[in-house]
Amino acid sequence: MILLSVLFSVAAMAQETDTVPTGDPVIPVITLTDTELEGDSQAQDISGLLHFTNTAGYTFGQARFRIRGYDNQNSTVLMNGIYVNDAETGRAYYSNWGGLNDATRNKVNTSGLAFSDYSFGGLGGVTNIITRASEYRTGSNVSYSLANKNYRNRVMVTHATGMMENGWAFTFSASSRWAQEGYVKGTFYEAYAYFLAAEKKINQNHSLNLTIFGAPTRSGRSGVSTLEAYELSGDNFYNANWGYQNGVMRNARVNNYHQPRGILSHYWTINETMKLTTSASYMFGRGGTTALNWYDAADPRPDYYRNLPSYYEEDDFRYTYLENLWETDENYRQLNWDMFYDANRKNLYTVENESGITGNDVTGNRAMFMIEERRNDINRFDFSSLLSKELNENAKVVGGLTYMSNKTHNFKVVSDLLGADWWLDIDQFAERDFKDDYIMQSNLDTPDKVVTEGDIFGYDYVSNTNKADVFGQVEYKLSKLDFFGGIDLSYTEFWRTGNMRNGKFPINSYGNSAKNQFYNYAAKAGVNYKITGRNFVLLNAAYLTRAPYFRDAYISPRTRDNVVDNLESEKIMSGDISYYYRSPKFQAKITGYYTEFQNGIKNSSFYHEVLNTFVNYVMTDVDKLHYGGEFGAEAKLSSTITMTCAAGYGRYLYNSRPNVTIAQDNSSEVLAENVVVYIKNYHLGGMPELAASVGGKYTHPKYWNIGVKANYFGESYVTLSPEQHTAETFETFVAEDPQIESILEQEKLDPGYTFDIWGGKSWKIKEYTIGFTLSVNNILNNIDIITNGYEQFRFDKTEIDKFQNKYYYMYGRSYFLNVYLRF
Amino acid sequence: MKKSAYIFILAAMFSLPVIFSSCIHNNFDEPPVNTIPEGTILTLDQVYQIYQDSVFSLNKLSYKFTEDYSVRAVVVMDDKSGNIYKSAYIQDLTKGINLHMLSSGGLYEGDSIIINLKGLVLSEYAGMKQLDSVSVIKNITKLATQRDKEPEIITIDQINTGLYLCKLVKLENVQFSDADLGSTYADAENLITMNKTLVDENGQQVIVRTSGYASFADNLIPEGRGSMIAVVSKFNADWQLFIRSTFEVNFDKRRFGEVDTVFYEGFSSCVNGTAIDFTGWNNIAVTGVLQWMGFNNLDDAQYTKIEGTGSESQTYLILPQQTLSDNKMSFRTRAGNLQGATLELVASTNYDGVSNPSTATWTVLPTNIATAPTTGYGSWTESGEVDLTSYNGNAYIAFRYNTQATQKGVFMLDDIIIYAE
Repeated sequence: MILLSVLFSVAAMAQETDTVPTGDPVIPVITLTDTELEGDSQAQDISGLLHFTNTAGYTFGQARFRIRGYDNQNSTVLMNGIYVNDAETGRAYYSNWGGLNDATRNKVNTSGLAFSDYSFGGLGGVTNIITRASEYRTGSNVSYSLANKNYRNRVMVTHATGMMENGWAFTFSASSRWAQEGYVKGTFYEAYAYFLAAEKKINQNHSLNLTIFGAPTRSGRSGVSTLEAYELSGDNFYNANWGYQNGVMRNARVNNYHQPRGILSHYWTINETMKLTTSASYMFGRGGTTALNWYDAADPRPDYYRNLPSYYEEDDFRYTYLENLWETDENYRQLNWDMFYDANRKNLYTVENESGITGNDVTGNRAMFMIEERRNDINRFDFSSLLSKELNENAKVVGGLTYMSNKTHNFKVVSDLLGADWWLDIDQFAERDFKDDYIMQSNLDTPDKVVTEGDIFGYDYVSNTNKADVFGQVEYKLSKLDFFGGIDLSYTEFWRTGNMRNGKFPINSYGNSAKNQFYNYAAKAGVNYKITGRNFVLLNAAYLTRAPYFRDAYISPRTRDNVVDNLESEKIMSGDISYYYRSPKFQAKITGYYTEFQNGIKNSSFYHEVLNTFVNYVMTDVDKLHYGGEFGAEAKLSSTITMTCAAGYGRYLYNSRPNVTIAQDNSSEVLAENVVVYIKNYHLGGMPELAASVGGKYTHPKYWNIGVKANYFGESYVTLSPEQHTAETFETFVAEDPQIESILEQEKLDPGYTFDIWGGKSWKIKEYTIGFTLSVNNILNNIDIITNGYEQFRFDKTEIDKFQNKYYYMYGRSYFLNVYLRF
Repeated sequence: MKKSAYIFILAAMFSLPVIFSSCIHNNFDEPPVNTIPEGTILTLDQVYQIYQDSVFSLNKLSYKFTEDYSVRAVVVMDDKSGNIYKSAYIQDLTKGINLHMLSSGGLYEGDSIIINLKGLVLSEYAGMKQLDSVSVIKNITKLATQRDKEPEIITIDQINTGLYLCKLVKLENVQFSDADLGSTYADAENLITMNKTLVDENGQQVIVRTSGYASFADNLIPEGRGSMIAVVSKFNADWQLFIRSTFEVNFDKRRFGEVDTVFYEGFSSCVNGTAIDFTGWNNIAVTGVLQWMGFNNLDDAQYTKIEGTGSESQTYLILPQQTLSDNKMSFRTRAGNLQGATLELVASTNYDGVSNPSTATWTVLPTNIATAPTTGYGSWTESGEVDLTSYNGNAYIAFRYNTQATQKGVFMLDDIIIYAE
């Protein structure tokens, strides 16, 4: 820690923040899924800790730490060379292969800007997961795991044949993970996974491999709430998503994903120095998240601000009444499913001229409450071809091309009518605002449509993205100096295909939108100066341009095909410098980095309390600045004891005053156009800017080990709401109003620390190895660490505390016990 | 060994999901149907009586229902328009009442409902009875939809009787006061509720109250006159009306006193002493030879007159063909030395415009014609409003002068106006 503060006087570099700010609208996304964190019995093995990224992922992930503050979009994830980041958002979703820990263990990580054998890569590095059947350790592995996080049980079986005499190699893996209730009350988990890799060695030079895998997963989600709700419920993990139905707990927010993928790869060893790997991949399947929807009824979510006592601060009676209900009545504090049924079963309603058919009047119980599923079903084809050639002993060239064609079908379906006969497909927000029978239609071709379970309603569109990319990299290794350089050229096009003619946007909601086309380039280079065999200095730099993602480019893709004004590529420049020391007993690496993002786009939508509708905040010209340092060290104190340390400290700031355009989902009227958001030098927030870990490990020669680790997280800020940082917000305030400071201030969260222990033992009995590993995180059960918070987008300047910040707490003590048998 | 391992793996792969899938709830039992009990059905009249009894015998200003009493009624106003909030008006055959709802929405005009009163409080707020804290979910069952109540047609005077409180009514032949013209129903920008004054032809007034949240708050109030459907409400001593929709404000007629002149003749271009011979007019003596003559005295006035001298006569002064659409007319007459001569206002729909008027059918229109003594002149007399609404379409209007033998008299005619309101 001392070392850090000396080397990186980061805080001193912090600049004055803007006087009027706005924020990062996106609810922060965790880089690695919890599944990834807890599911891997090797997670606590910090032998590879020198690579700062490992510790960052496994240990700091639960504190929502992100390496260098980068969004997950910046990390390229490949599988057998196929780019698997999501086409719409650019993010990598590890849950696609959740539960396949054994099968996805072979991977090559390249951190940061370093040279990768597989791809040009992103700023945050490249991970290539290798699923070639012959690459797996021959044998079988059966394991059972017991945990208390998202899931409580896992059974996994894996078998690999290795390359057999007949030229075939097979690897199978399957698992199931489940929890009746996870760490958070009201959550559940039910996941399966399957994996098959088959490889045929055709001859010395040619091999074919087919990998097929999928992970059907259903899980009940936890919620995020305000401090008030946490305090009233007496639970820092209070989850507003569940309630009792007929005495049984039911969660309204259920994720249900199954997006299997198949990859066919051809490995061609052209000669001793040249290899060509070509893969084609197809992925498809459902993605869905359910949510409550309601019509003409009070907001049923218990932690909605009007259902909390604080809304009635002026009214002692109501305040005390609600406070008491919250504290004592679980039916009030949670969803009341039985009430939904009661309401739906007697809500007689007549729809005249249903679906626009004159005289077709439908009378029945119209749903006041229902469960909808918001789907994003994927259909995606990928191709990649990668050539590597060793020019001589010192030089290597890698080049490749990739192609992606993706269609993501976004729509809503009626999932459960909760006892009603049907749901009327109109836009209730538009209905209220316009009182116009046409404007409020979700689909003008079938106006006033009555929908039942399984029917598509609300919105229905396809996002199309095609991308072609070609890259080349050269690496030279000399005695004192290693050097690499690479360039990447790409073409991206995306467009929207609407399947509904929306009443608000009859002209630009149906059919294909115009194509958005981008030509991008990127270049990077690095040197490794070998001062001595033990001392190295590494220097990397990159400049890239990146096409916008579909999700950011469209202002309101659910209803129309408008894109943001001046849609342009983001420009990114980045550099890092490291000093690396290596000796048999001690290794250390210290890195400084500096990255600028320019002309980015941030798009987020939320329910606006004053306008009573979904509002899209699109910020353009978002510049961001990330700089800081990383440190990792490992010392072998003896043959059995190893000490490790890893730390990262940075500043992740807005570096411009973006322009925000505010548009409503249900109106063509633009509420604000290019309004300046004063957030320069505010923190991006949502993650700790400081994270550090110190640990020790004892490894006994007789197959057992034990380790301890202390972790510290700090310098974390809540994410900002843009609306609190526009000039308009302050129009009505006098300069000396004390509220101004309170509105502008970006809340800094308290730092936190945790202790972890882990250990394991194995026995060898003939050809069988039996063993266990146990890890316990946060052994002191510190349940008061807020890992993240965000300002709500909705903001009422007449009552600045009306929409309180929302916070996430870190889990308390959690364990993961894995028992395995290998043969 | 290897073979058995494969079998083991494959068996495990397929059996795992089956073994464990039963432990997670996937399909939830629907909760049992929870029917709201009906108990004793009360009319709204009885509900009002309960309140009176409570006030008089128990001296309590509110009454809480503790048993399963129910009311059957029809929703006559919901809060969909935003004009009222968390509120609804219902009506049965006896009376109307205001519901104060726990949350907005869920009840719609025309819903035939049954409300369980248990737990509800009946109270009076600013002179109006209301049922408080009504939950659509807990208290109300919908029996049928689209049972819209027809509004009762009443006058502003009748509102003041109190018999129509909380009921849907229709007022005819009313307009907004002059002072309100040019304003909107309410202040939609600042969300401020506003009162407007409605007046009838007798000058009776009543408040029309509109919330700033109403969807039509920023609509200009109509300037004309006509009918309005609204719900009668009360705030202390003030009676007030809430409209449900601007579609139910049909002010398509002229304001009181304002007309749209379709035809006018003031005879200012007639030639003194010469028979009226305007384009399109007919001045035809069916019997005798009398003509309607021009009278044009620069100092005085211009009009037409006809004077019989004691022989039998019948003369039509026929206006040009009119295309009528709910029109009315008026004119002025003056008579002199009236000894049996008569003047009639007549209309025909089958006159051809050129022939002898006796070939057509003429109907006498009731109106007010001047009278005079047998010697000397009467004064100019207003005809009053003549209703031409039964002659929509093409028609001829005429003044018919008649004398029998020995009868005589003078009629003067001026300021013929055909107008629309």
